[in-house]
Amino acid sequence: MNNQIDRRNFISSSAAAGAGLMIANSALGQAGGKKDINIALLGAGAQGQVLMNAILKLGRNSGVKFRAVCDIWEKGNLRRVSRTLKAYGRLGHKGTAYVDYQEMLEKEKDLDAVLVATPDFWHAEHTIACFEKGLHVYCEKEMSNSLEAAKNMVLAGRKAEKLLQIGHQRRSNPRYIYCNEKIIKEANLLNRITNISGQWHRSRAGCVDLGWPDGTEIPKETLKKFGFDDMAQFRNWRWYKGLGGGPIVDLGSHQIDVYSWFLDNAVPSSVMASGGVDYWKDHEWYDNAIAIFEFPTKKGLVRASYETLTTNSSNGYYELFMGDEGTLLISESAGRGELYRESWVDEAKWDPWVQKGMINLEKASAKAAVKAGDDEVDVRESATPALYRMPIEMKDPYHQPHLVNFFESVRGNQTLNCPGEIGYETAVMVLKVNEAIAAARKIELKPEDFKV
Amino acid sequence: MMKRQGDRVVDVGARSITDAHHFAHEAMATVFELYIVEEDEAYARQGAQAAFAEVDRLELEMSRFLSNSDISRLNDAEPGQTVALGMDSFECLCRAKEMFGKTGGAFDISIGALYGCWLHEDRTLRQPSPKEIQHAHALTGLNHLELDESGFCAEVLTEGVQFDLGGIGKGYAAEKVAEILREWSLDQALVLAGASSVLSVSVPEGMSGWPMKLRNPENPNEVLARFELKEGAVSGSGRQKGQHIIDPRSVDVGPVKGRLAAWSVAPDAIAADASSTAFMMLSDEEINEYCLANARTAAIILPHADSGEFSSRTVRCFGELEEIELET
Repeated sequence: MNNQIDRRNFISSSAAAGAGLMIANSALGQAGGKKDINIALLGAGAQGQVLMNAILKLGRNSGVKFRAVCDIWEKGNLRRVSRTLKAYGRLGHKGTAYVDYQEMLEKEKDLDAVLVATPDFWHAEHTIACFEKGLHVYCEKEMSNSLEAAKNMVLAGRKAEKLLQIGHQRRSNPRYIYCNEKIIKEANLLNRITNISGQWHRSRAGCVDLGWPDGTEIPKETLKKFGFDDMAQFRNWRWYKGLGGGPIVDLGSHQIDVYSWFLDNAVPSSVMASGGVDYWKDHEWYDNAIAIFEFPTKKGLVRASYETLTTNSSNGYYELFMGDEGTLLISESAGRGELYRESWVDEAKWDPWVQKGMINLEKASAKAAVKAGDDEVDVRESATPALYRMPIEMKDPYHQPHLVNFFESVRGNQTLNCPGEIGYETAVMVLKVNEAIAAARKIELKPEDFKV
Repeated sequence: MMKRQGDRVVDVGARSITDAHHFAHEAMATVFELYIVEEDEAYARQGAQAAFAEVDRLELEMSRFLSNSDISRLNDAEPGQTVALGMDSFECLCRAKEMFGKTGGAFDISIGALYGCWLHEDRTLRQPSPKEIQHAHALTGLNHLELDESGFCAEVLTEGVQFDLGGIGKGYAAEKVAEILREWSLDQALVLAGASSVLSVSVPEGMSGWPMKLRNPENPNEVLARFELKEGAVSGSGRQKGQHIIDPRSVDVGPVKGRLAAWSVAPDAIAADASSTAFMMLSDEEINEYCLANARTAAIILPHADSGEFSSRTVRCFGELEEIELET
């Protein structure tokens, strides 16, 4: 199968193959309806709380109601979230608290969907258990720390004919959608994309291990039952093998997902990478990782690099798409988006898009050094490329559009922006980076490696 | 200093702020600093990290410079449109409205239109037309903001009214930081939200209070007053040379002379932040009334001296403030 197939075709083809996206919607018998969707939050840590707050900010008439929350940290996450949901009881939410997810799924009879925001190594078990109860699932990325488990999540969703949205929230961010659909596709302002680079750099201070307030420890037997050696490991699971995947998975995954998305969901033919536990002594996963992917596309090969650091925050996080006619810099960070025209490209070529209001010219490029009719070269500071901006802002809380896309898909009004099949492709890309670092060699990938 | 030995806490006595661990973090266009007295530095650092993470989270909720913050969503809303808010923004707006009422409208988070009317972008004075003044006046005041407690939501009643939590957000964040430090049993701590808002979580064993000094903003070498902060917060407002103050209560008179600097001591950092702003323009009588009406509240005022004489002799105090030492 051609791996440049676009996402819409991909989704409808997987649905037609019995994967059940459309089938699941009609099975609900409420296409177009605004029926209340009852949800539970499974995993109430920092990310779970971000999702919860984004949903609470949908307000009174969202038709989405929390019923319960589950987290093994009773005196930490669970207390905080159930307290918030209790306060929002006036809007019809309920936050019955559970430590054991099986007990929650057993007792909460009127759920329609579950948000899974537990550590990566729990995603598959939690997601599959929800499907077995006939519930739709919004699962945080990374889908899983194991590709086999990630595949099983997709298969279980198809079997249950329930939806699986993976939390690559940029796929529903209007600024990203605009860049992909308008700037890259419709106006083709970059022309042939040849290279992509991206990064997420964090300062040392931002990467210190998380602690916990004295007296809030999870009982040892509970930690053990749920797969953690101790409280420190529970709080910092992202750094441990078998639990998380390190920064390349936590952060890189979001951005490498966008690489693929903007290339019409192309998948790479190879990855090589370097990284290591170079700075933080107690961690198992690589505290810095630098990867290079090769993406074959219809227009030619795209070479893409990605880097994540935990010692220096220089330049923060962004993705940079480089074509032979222009450059697009985009970041989820609010307001960060720039578009440059290569200086050899005639301004007149981009003008129509400015006239249409699709892009705004912020700073024209410096005029040519030799003006028409002049016989001398005007020597001055080096010319800067013309800078344009996208006239679109993210006006909703982060993650909210992606959650809304999930809820509207449950109602049959939309299709998922990041179904499990797409999440799986991204999981392959980033988990293979860790594999390439460990193997210290280039890993070749085949299109079928990305298929469930 | 408190010493942690397993679960036992032993008092070994702290003597000064230099015995406290110091942590700093940039957020909300300033630097948040914590002084924490705690034997286990690693534990204090992790508590500080949790507190700073909360400040970062609050900035995303409340900054008007972020297009998807609660405040931006409120500022973008059409009149009559209900905006569902997070608990923090909602609570902060409620406190802003409360302080608007308590200060007779002198503290006003909707004052932006008036500043835009009377000042150029470089903050120099401009002369607006009566129509412009009228328009700005019509867009000022928290009577344009409806808060609905039954739904954590807000409604802007008049098109074009803009809100900015800049004058109260740091105080709110300081209170939330104190909550987290208490959860961590790190309550022998001092929170600085920039140099202008200071909150004592509690006074460490062995200290009688956190030492504070107030300086003359026009002559930083001159210390005007010293006192010990035991509980609650102190907040300062001042103005740089040439800076103008608009009193939202008297829109048509334009910039007012106001004070050179004002400090407020209050039971919490939100009240301190808002009242110190208001004290820059309230009259002596109004400040006195405010301090009488609000428990554990005091004001220290450095009036604008026409004679150009800025010395501690001109400092005036209102309300109850134990052991304040004026540097006469």
